[in-house]
Amino acid sequence: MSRNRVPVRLAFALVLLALVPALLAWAGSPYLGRLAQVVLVAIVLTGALNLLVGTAGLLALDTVVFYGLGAYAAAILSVNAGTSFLTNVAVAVVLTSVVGAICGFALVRLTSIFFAVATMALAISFHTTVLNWGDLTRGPMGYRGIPPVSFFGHSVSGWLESYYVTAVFVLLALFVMHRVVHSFYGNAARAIREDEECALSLGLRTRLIRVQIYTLHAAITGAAGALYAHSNQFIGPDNFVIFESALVLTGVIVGGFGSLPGAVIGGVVMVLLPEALREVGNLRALLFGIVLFLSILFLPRGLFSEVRALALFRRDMPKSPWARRRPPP
Amino acid sequence: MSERLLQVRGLAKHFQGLRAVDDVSFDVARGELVGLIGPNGAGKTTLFNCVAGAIARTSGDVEFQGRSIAGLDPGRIARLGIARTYQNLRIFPDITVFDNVSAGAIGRLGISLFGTLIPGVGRKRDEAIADAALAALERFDLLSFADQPAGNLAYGQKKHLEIARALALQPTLLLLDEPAAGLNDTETGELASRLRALRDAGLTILLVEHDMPMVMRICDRIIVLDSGRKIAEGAPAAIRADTAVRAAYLGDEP
Repeated sequence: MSRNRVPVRLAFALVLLALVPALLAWAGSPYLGRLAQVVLVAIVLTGALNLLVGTAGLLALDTVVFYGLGAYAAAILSVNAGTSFLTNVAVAVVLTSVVGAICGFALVRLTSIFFAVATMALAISFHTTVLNWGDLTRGPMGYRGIPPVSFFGHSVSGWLESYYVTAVFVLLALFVMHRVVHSFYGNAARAIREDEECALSLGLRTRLIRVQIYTLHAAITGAAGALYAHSNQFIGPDNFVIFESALVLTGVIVGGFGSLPGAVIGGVVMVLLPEALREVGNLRALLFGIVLFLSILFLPRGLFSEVRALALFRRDMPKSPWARRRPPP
Repeated sequence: MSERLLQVRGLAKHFQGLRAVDDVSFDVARGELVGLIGPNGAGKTTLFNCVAGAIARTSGDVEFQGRSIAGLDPGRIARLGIARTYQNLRIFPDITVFDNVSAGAIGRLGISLFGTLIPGVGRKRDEAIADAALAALERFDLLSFADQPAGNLAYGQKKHLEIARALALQPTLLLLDEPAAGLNDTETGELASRLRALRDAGLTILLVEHDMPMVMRICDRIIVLDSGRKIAEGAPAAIRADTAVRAAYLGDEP
């Protein structure tokens, strides 16, 4: 076993489960507690989109589609049928997987900008559908009174408990994404991204891998949506406008295409930066834009580049002989 | 003649009026190192692409291990055991040397999302992939560059990397498209001895090449194309003496 393997992951889990809640409890501010949760959900969204945009190289703006599908599935089920939180998350995952697989099957035939435009169309039509399918979605009113997160009859109350639920969910999602990105499966996806025709000539099942990654990104995003619906207790069409997709995509870009640690950093930055700039009022959007522009100009590979991330997690490829037989430097 | 691994029968590829490959037939026996030569534009690469499935043939048939592979998609052909390299280098520049080569191993051995997600399930396959990749790197002396981004390698090493990646597929037949192009004499010599070693280890190789001394030195048999047609076939010595070949390369005598 390599030296950096356990510490990186363990340290991250400790920060998330001990350090951050301790600081939050010390600050004792529900606002900060809520903000921490928003950050955590953003991390999952950037991480999932990074699978598609970074690792598989398919520029996409469809985060809100699956985020919204998951959220609305949870809202509609819990308000109308009174189903439990865990059931709703499971339904959201299944629903977004199925829709993701179908959309993915159709979309991965496209590449580069054509793929991006198609996912943009998907995002816009999703918003329009939610807005106008009043019978199901309650249109612009959205869903109010979604019950809070609960497990086996215990309803989660208070922001600290709620934070813990989100943190555990984030760790689970990150574990899944980590397994995919830092593996031979991730290698295959990166090879396809670099040169699809050449990857095909090596016998890689390029289309299958792309559909799988699209589906996985949809399912993770959908689960995040269900969690969001229950922790926010209100959702409306405004939560799922294409601008939100763009924000998540920006997080991926700022963090670094293809880098999972980058996506985590990107998710944090994308939530905290606008919050920090709240003071300056209307200038916020402008400052935000400038920060992004500078980040892309000076750090085109992101705050934590893919190369660095892969080097950091390289030895984590499951029991690879590579780890044992590493040549001397 | 020993077992025929590859049989090309009346293969033709026409681009509108241009007959890039015109009714070409030949066999490659298991364990042979066959050179495919001809002047620029003779149709060597087109022929290659037809065999590898990268472009659709106009007519004719290609049989590999007794079954027709004409019309199959390139991924399928690769998984059946035919690996190829490209004339103009096509490595994956942004990922490491090891990851480049592992892509070839993954192509042959497959990879499953389920095995990747669930700890322990895909371990056997991961180990097989890593073994194949490491063996290919070792053969081409690239092990010490394994964790470098492939784009950082010197040109000659990139050429070797591309062959190593194809080898990681553990192919039965290796198609090499001008592996010596752009290499200096030392590197070409090194390449020649490696190809010969691969052949001696039992691999069948079909080699498109412009470097005549190398082709003459290492090939068991040579096939000559000119303007899409096969004009000669035989041992290096016979090809060297062939008048039709001389005419194709140097122009007809007046």
